[in-house]
Amino acid sequence: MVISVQFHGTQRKLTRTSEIRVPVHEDCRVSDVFVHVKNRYPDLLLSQEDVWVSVNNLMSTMNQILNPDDRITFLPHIGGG
Amino acid sequence: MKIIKSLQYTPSPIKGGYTDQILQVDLSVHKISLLRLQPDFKEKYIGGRGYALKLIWDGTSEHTRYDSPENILVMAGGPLCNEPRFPGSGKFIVGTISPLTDTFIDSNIGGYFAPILKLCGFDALAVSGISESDVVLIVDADNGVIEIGEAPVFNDQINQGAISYGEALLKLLNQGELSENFAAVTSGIGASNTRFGIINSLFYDRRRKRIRVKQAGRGGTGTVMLRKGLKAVIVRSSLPKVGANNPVDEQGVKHAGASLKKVVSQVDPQQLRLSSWGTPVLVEYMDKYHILPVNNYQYGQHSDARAIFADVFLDRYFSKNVPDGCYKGCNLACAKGAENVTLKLGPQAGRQVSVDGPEYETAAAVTCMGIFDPHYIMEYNWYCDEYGLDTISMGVTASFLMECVQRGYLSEADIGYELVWGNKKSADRLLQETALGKGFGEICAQGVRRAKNWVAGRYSAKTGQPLDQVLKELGKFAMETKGLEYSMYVTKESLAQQGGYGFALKGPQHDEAWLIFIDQVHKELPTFEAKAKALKWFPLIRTWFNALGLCKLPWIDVRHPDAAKTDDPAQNQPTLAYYVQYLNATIGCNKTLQDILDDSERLQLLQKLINLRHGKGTRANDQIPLRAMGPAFINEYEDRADYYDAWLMDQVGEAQIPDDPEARHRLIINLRQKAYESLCDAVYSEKEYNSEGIPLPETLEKFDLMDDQARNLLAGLGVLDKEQRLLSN
Repeated sequence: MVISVQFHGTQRKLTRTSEIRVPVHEDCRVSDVFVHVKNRYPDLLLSQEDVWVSVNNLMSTMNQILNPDDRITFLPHIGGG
Repeated sequence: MKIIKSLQYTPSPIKGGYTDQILQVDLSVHKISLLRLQPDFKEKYIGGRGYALKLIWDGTSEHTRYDSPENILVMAGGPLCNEPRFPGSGKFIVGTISPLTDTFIDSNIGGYFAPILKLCGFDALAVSGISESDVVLIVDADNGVIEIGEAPVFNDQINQGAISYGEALLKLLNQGELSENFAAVTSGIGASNTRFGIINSLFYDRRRKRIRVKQAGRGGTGTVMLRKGLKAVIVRSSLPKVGANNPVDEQGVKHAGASLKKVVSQVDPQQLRLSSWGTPVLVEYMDKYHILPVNNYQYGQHSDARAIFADVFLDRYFSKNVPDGCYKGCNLACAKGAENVTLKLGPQAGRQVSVDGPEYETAAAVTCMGIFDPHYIMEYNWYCDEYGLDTISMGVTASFLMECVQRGYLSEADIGYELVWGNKKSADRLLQETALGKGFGEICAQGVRRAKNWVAGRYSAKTGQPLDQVLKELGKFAMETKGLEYSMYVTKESLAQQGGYGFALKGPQHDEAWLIFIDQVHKELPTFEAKAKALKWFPLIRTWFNALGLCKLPWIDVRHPDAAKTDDPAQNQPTLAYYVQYLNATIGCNKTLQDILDDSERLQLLQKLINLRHGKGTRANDQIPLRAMGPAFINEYEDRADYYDAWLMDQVGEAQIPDDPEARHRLIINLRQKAYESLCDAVYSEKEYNSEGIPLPETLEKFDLMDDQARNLLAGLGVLDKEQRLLSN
């Protein structure tokens, strides 16, 4: 199956794209995709402690098992100044 | 420059972050006096907002309005202001009685003004009275003199502009040179002609080789300043800034500052990258999560929003690799700026200007008018700064009027031209007319609440519809609470942020409680109880920052890696520990986080008392527009029908969902209104208020605030006796 990872803000700038499509195996979890993105884009400086996982615009976790066409975002911390 | 009054003085030294002295100026009689503070003053009121609150509580009355001579304009940093070894220490507070809310307003602002004012020997400046002619105030520590001078007159363009006038004045006072040892606050012609005038803080930036500006944006502080006849305040000191606070524990300050700077430099590049992108980075996330206030907060998202995402400003406008902190030593340095921006609209079209900004609020305010043009945002930013206008209040009032046109309450005949969403030319015309006090701009200049009353009266007279009925309809989308225009988030889907705006003592400004991302996006406040508790805790800690002279961003927008291991990661307590250490090392105490929350609660309660005194402190005043709670009109429901239907399903179950879309819409509104009322009850209980949002007498006693004025106030509200009866039962 194929899922997509969306990039926003500085992530979009660094990856030069707003979305990538990633073929994954069944029972694939968000954490597997996270490792894929981290390796493909080391400049993103992603760390598991610093991202919020969003799947289809709903907050989720690294353990979530993915479905076909799921849209994943690794959000940075946004506090509010 | 003709000097009207002059006072020789010797600057008080700073010890442990304080000078223990306030500069008082009465412009009615051109009197300058130095007020020595008793030690318990700083212990109870801390600094910054606390000083402004206490001076206004004691020095004004329920009858004081923004233009009353006795109104006081306070500018105060705080004990932790002015330490380049700690990030974000150039902040100060401008506090006064607001022309928009008719109660206490304060707005925080960066730059060199407060640090230099402290080097001049003052923890605060308090200006009362009204001068018959325009004056400037000069506080010159290098020459040991404080002067009130006749405001110099330059050409019309300079005289009308906050930035232009300040720059000309700074050059005049320093033989044509700009220097880091001078700073100024000014406002512009827009502040004279509106109720939402800002105060600009001007300082010389050696790297950019020009004057930069930051703004106290909310609530009309600039309007008050100019109404007093005060065109500018200039401060001057060449004393070194590092270590100037003379902290009790030098090593403690160095350690706390170095620790925080290390976290900022390591973590910000992994998170929002505010240091390189600035706050406009938020716009993209606001759009993604339906919280961008498009068309007067009707919609949270727009297909054209991509045109104003932060990378557009970064690529086309922002200077690269220039760390634009608003004070020395801040390595977050989130302020951004651009050079050689050519204005295309307005009376100065064709002129090339430098723009400080935009912040995300300014970009969002332009989307409020349905405009998604980055160049227009740059122009809007510059004109508002130069005229001395709050970009938020200007945009929200203009967009309210645009929606009045959309819904048929106003016509082209009423306005004199077509005022519709997304039209840059008409938006600019309204901006110019508002700033210059011309045409329909005179209505816009009054802010949303007063504009709403004007529109309602006119429409009622024209159609014969009862005035109260028209006001009720307009109130659904007139985005103000307590008279202040909403800050820049669509709160429909975040109950916590609805409360964050509704309960904010100054009116709906995120400065007191910015919970929308941790609530709506991060889901860190999953329960009703968590939201209610956050609505007590966050305003307390944020008030504390505003009392100390500190920026909040290094704490709240750069989350410490260890925060995830704590009970409440959103509070980011590992970073707060550096702030507590910085406080204790500077002033020489041993406070805990709970101690500083208690200190802050006293200030919150004092502000609540002022609000009560001015008729803005009860539950009725915490009510928010329908649009802040949910889809106020059917078109907003229809725009996200799938989302709202799913929300209804979750709330009431499929069997209870009506077939008729209008009935669904009514049900959503009904549920949202009930939720907000429940939130009021829960938050008042958390804060130890009664059900009307009034502090219980014992709450005031606990914080030593039950003076005669407070006692009389509560007695007048019928609370004292009632609560005492309850207690005795």
